[in-house]
Amino acid sequence: MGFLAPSFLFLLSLASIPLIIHLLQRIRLKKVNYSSLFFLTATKRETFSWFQIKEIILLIFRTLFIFFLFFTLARPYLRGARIIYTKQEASRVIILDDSYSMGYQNNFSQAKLYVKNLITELKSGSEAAILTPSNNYNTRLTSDLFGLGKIADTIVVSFSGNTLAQVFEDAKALFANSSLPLKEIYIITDLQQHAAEPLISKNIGKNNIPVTIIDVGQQNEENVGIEQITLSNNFPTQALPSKPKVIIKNYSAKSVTRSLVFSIKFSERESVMQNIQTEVSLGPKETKTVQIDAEIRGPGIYRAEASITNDDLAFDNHRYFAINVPDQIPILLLYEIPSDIQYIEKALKISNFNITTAPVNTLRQENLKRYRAIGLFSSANLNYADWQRLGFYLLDGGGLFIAVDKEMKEPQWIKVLNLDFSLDGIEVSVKSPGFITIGQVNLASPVMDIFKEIDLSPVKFYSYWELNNMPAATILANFSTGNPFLIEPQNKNLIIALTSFAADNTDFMLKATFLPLFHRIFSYLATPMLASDFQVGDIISSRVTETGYVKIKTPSGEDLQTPSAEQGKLMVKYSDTKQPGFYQIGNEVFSVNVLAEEGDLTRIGEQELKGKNIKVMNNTLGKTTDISGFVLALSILFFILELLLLVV
Amino acid sequence: MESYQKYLIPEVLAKLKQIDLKAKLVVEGFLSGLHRSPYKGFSQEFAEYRVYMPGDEPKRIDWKVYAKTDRYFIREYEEETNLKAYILLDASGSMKYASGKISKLEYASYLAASLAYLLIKQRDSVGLVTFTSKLDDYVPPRSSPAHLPVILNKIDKIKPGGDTDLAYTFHQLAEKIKRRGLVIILSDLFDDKEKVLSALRHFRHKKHEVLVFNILDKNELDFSFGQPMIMRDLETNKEITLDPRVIRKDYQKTVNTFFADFKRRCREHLIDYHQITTDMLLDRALFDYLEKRSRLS
Repeated sequence: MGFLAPSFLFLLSLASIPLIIHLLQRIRLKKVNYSSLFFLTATKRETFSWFQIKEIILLIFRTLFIFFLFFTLARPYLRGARIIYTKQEASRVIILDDSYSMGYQNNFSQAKLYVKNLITELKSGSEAAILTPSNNYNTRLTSDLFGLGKIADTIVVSFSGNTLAQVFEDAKALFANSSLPLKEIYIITDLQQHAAEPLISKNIGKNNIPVTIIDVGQQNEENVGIEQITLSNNFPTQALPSKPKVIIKNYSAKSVTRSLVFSIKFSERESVMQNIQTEVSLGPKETKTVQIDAEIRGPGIYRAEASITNDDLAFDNHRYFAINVPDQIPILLLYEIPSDIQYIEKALKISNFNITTAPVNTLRQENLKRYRAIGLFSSANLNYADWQRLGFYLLDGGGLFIAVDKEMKEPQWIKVLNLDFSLDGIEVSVKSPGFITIGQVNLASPVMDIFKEIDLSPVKFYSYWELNNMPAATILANFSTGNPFLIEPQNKNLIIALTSFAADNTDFMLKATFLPLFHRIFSYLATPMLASDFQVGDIISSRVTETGYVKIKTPSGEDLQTPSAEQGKLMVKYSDTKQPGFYQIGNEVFSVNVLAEEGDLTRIGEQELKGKNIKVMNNTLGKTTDISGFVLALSILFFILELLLLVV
Repeated sequence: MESYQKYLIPEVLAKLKQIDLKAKLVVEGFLSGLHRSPYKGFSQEFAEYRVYMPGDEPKRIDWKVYAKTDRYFIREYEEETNLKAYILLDASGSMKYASGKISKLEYASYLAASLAYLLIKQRDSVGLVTFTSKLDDYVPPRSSPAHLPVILNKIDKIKPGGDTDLAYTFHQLAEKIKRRGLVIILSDLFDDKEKVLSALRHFRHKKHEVLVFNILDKNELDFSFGQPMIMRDLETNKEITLDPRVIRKDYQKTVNTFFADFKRRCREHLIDYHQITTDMLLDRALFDYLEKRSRLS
């Protein structure tokens, strides 16, 4: 027998309390003078023996009740067959999958039993370490096996996703300092497909280190998770409100119905703005988007929560969402001659943009940090230093829109902005029929998604730029020739139009689609963090204005952190995001959620593990049984027996 | 309640210090209960009440007493009697027991004093014997009023304690008392039943009339204790640990059987047996005495 929480064993001494009370009672038993024991001695002869026996039985029941109660707290388990016999000292790394999928039913308690087993079976002189995907309990190789066992007792399931492949690399690295010849890696996991596949693909069985996977997983019957909360419109304004959408996925092969509760709060008032409950039916493996009848409009910070009830695996049944809708968005439009931007300026002014226009040659006089996005419609007179400033502006999180003009054929700006394409191809002047139009539109992009039912084809352009190589970029729209019209380079808050919007090059400004396109482009660029969604374990970066300690509200309370200066800005980088929920840094609110895919308990097929030189032990081998429930039942039984005896 | 009658309540009587006063108040309370008017004109002419017997003239029946008690009493006047009464008062340790304010010994003392007072008032001779495991005090019977303070003083000075050996004491007394008389026993009778009955028969054998007042505390019959406890014997100081709730029924059965048998056996030998608990009014015993006395005359 072993204990998952042996630190509670000291409480067993409390089982002596009834005995002490019994003895004290005997000492303190009330003495009464009585006329004569003449009649009592005769009566007592028959009844007192029962009284004494009853007292003793009562004492035993009470003692056993308390004993088993505290015994339960120590989480006893029965050790089954030993997992492995180690005849020599070994260096053993135990990777315990503590990702939240392990919280399904008793997977994790079983896994912990195995960890204990693997530690206690080691021969004296061995060393062991524990690694977890959450990194919450990682240790180095240690010969203090007792101490390691105590650490194992404290491990709880995290909210993290499964990163076994990465942890396996860490495990190998640990052996660098080990001098023991026998090295082993044990991975205790539920073998979720999405996490196990990257692990298996690493050929972990082909190392010199023997790897054993202990499979504690089980096929789930009915798990449903909330994958995401999104908005119908990423840039809500008073005129164009946005509605939240909840994406729910049924991971099981059964049809299920779940109750969805959605609430949204406007953070300044902290009052519940909407609270909606609805029933959602999902077919096998079906993903469904539930449109919520609530509106986000106007500036402010909104927090939304969605949860489903009566479902397995509680971790993925709740999701948080925060959105910071800015008040007015300051935009700088740079031109060579005012006519370059006159239509765009007028178009954007009617929206929630605060427009500043400036000749491009005055760029060096502008404080770019004042603007959330810059529109560059002419590059004449921009020198290397100006492009560098724009490069730093991008790095600072600013958004930049570039409409390529004749002056930009010099590749200088592409190098400065660290882009991976060239414009060696010359501006193409369109010949017959004299113009080209906008062709295919990428409706999956949040910039272009409103053009689902709007025809952009009547817009004419008379010249454009051809790319001579396909960049690592998302193409937002193509010309009718198939050449890109709008591209968004990856990992950059930058959109490039491969044509000019000057009046002599297009009639776009005369079309109804002109305003929505530019509204979208600048909203998107100016508000990259509009929806502030993070995953458990992510680092939240937030710009703050005040120096000194910054108060951070977390789901479990409050934290303080000193901001650090980065390129002239005060930044808070908060990394203790172990819990899902809302985190408020300064005036900004961020939501932190579990990795949605972790809720998919689909297991890797046995076939995929074959021939990989990995020893797989399933849960029935060397099974250990948690007997806490049984012991608790015994405790309750003795309590009931005690009550019955008192009544008799 | 008539002012004297309240002294029939043992708790009220316990507040008074002087035993003679107690005796007087009890008897007068008792008599006033029998008939209010005789108290006012209580004189040398009036001797006693006695129970109506067939052959008595009906006109001598005191109807007012009848109205109160539902029993026929006849007033007797200045009648010389030659009854010698012996009050045997048990002063053993067990008599110290009191579940309330009055111990059995206190109750028995009030009763003994009241009986002595009443007997002297009736011109009977009264003597007192106090005993524990042996004879402690013996006051021979006299009928003079001056004898009353002697008896009352002895009662007042009783020091309880020690074991009980009723049979031995009664046998001793039966041999000691030569002239036949009325033996009034005030005891809890906590002793070997057979031996005690044998001793009582000894009295009867010597032609004595025997009146037994079995004085008990109510708790000794009910055994209404709660939690487990250690009980110490007031006579022997022996201790036992017990849970009264467990043995109560058996105890009650044992006690009731014991005294029921005792009563039956007394009746067989023409011994008057009366069980009295310390919460009863004192006149109950006086009535029993009067009843017995009337039968003797």
